[in-house]
Amino acid sequence: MSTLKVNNVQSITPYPPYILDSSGKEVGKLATAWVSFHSDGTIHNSFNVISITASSTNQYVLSFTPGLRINNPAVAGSSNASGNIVHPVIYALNEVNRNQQYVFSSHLEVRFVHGVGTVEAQENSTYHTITVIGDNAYGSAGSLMPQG
Amino acid sequence: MSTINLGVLKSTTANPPTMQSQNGIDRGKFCRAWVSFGRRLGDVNQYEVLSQFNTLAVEDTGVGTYTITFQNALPSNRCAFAGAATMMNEIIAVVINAGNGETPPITTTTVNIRTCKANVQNFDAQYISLFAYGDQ
Repeated sequence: MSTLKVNNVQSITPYPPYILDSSGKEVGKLATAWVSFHSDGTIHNSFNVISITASSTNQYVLSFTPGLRINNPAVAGSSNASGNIVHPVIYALNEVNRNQQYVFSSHLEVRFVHGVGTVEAQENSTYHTITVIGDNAYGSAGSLMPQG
Repeated sequence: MSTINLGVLKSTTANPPTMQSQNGIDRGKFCRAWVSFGRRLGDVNQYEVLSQFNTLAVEDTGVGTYTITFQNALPSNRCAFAGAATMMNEIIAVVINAGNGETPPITTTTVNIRTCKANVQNFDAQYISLFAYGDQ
């Protein structure tokens, strides 16, 4: 066991340092950004989210710290609700076509949608959370399978 | 204030290093895998991985159902998963694809997920993302 005691770990590149195991395999990634906020847009706590702007009913633009340079990040979140569920949805201009998601290196647009399906029929949630994990590099093409 | 500058932080074990406060309390964990995948450019009837860490493949196993395969095994078959998907007007959720009382469809190398919109209808979203946290 070895312990390094420092206040900051600063990368020598524009990106976070690589986290490797003892064999040199990359085994971890840091969260790129996260935020908890009120439905009025007030930020409770955050990391790399500099502002939240309501763009529609229960729909928000989360602006990131400039220069994150992330591509197609993973997003997840949750919300409070006393009745029907409320769940965060990545806003898309179209439900089928490619590249309609509002996920960018500079910002992300999410909706917190009521369980019965319509944006307007929202619960009066007061605590929304979103976490974003991204990387500067595109992944491999992966496996391309016929859509079921 | 002390700062160490580096490009690589290497653990002495098979797991990422533990990030602790000054009194030795664990304060942070690293994400072990994440992926974003979406409808393929030029053929929206297929999916492709858009970006990822430690994800080998995404298999489309049916309407709104997918198997995520990890490149290197996760440290446990009981990792925490969270995700989100795109939708224009309705609710859509990313869930672990198992019914109540069923064994979670999770191994150290795969997880089966489902994207469903209100109320229980499986749906092929155009952009889906997931990340995994876990420890031994």
